[in-house]
Amino acid sequence: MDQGKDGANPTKSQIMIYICGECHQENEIKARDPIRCRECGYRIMYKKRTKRSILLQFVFLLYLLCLL
Amino acid sequence: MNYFLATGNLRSPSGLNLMQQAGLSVVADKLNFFRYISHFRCVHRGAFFTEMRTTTVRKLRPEAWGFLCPVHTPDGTPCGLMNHLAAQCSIQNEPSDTSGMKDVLLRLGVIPLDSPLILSGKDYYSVVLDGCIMGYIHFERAELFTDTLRAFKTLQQEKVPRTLEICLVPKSDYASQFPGVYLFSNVARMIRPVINLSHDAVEMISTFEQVYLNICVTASEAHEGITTHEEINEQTMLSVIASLTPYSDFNQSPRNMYQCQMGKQTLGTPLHAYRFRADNKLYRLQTPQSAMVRPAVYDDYNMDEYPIGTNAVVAVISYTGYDMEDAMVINKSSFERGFGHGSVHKTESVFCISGNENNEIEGLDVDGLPYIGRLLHQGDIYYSYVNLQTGDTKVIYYKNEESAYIEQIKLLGDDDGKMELQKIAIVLRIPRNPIIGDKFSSRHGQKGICSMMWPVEDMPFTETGMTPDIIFNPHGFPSRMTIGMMIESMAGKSAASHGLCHDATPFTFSEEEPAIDHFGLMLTKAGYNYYGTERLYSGTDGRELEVDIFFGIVYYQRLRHMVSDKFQVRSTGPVDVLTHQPVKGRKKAGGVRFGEMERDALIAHGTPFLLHDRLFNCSDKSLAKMCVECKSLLSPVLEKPKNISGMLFNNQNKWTCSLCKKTEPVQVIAVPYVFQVLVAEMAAMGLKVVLDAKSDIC
Repeated sequence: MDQGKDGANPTKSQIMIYICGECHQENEIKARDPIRCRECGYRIMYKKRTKRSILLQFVFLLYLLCLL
Repeated sequence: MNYFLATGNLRSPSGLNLMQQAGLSVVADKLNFFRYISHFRCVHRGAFFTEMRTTTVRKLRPEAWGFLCPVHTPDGTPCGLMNHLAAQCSIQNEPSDTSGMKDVLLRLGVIPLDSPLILSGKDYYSVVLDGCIMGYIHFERAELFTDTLRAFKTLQQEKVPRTLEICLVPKSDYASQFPGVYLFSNVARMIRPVINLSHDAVEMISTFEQVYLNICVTASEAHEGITTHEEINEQTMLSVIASLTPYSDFNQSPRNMYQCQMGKQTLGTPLHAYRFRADNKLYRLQTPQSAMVRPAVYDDYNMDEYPIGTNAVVAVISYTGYDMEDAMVINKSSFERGFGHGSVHKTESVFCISGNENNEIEGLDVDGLPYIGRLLHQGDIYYSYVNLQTGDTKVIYYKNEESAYIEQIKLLGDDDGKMELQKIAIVLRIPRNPIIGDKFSSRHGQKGICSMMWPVEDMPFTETGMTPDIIFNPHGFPSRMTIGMMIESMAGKSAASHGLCHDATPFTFSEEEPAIDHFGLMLTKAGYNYYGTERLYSGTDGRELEVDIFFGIVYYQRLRHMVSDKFQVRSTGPVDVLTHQPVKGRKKAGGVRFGEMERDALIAHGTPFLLHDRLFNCSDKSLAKMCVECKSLLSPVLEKPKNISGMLFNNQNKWTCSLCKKTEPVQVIAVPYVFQVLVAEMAAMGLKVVLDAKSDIC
């Protein structure tokens, strides 16, 4: 799978990336934007799978614990 | 129309002259291919006949042979009323062209209606096409006439429609149908192909003419000069599902019926487009396999695209004690490798959604929706949305008891693509891997409940070190007589060792060439025992088992009845508002009714304490005040506390009988709460209930 950049965005911009159900184009859609693909005009968007890793958080916690 | 399709109820003032007004539609459930197809091939006789006392309506008559499947009908109440079309049977849905028929009939010697009356009337059959009399034909010419017409029909000559039904009801000395030549070309007739022996071509026949034709099943049955038609093959009488039962000719017939029922409840591959579906509930088998032992039609229907089971190594042995009474033991390691793994995909449509504005919520993505792939437990945060009128953010929590993964979230735009987000569809995936209590079945009506995941190291093993996936109790065989399963086991074993797929079409083996010998020899070639048995060693102590164990490969189906949908437990829980008795129903965490018969059993056992516990303490025990003097449950009233401390501390409460105006006779008694309700209701009707209680009751 392609590695898009979304998810853990530290700046509080509300842009989310969704995948078009027809042409699989990645679309940046802000809150209150109309749901429509910029490329093909399809109106069903798929949310991308999260990049958040539970394991990484766990490792990070362990690391913190070790520091303490 | 939508209402009709959704409910099956007919709303019309006249009733349209139909026998029934409800139950006219069913939802085409896409659980697997079997279930889906049988919805479209099902014929129901009508609700009226279910109440009929006689069995005649349920019987399979000669005209139904080859049109309705004799195997594929449920047992019990709908038996014989709900039938399924045979695989080859189709329904004529468009009227055929009969414009040339009149010419053909006249040329074949039919005397038209407008010809001078030459007939003495009695010696002529009337020729009826779709209910219209076309003319007359003499008795002696009638047979030749129908034969020629049939030849035209079969060979597609002279504009005679291929699906024309040609039926000569001959005049006989016995009571019979009204003699005549009947031709039908119109719609709503069941038609099926047979081989016309005189022309060696396929002819489409229908139900009425079938009774007057002489059709043999196999060439060996044909009588010279009598038999005119032959079935295409022996399986043509079977429905799609019944013909997919391997070696069904070896099984006792009810077992084949059970398989037809259970095949429709199997988790399988209903479709491949899971990603694009929005069904409320979709079952999925994670690890399906192609059957190694399969009837020829398996390939015709492309069943490999929609497999519904797994090839499992089955040992027929009474080994663990956990395989009694239709229970079966599953090898824990095969389970861990994915045997029978499945999941349920649920789609939830959520309206009134708008992306979360500015405040990020812990556990949710910035758009206010959950992360894809997240595991949700009961009470976890599910999603949030912004109410556009008020600007409030609303958070929804996951309510379902069963944990689920977020499989997919679809953002659905409106039709113009101009509005902001208002509707989403969340697909939840609930893993449903086999657990104890889940139901499995082979393809021979042999269902079983998984009773234990047995560790592989304790499983019996063969000389090659193989352990079975499933332990099947041998007691399941004698009474059920599913020899087909045994043959499938041997065939599966030889298929696996030779790298083949065996043809399991029924009626291929005979007394002269038995199936057992065929597969026995194949097994010997592969180095196995002729009888499909193997030497087994105990899994616990490694000693050789004295008996050779029947060991082979059987295709197993996982049925959709799973404990996680059915289990019901309650210690304490919700109670009814009115009666204070425990509620019923699995959904509401209710109990199982301890009914009259259970009560009788406890009385008969002489266990009053247990009875008291069940029906009183565990039900609606309540403490009530009663006045012993006036014997009423209603008269004691709480006196108004004199000071604030009396209000605060309950122990200073003072109960007085409102009738006797005394405090002393008020006593506490334990009564069922419903009894208090009863007394109150009686009082409302002006009836007084007098309790004959003694003062030392407590």
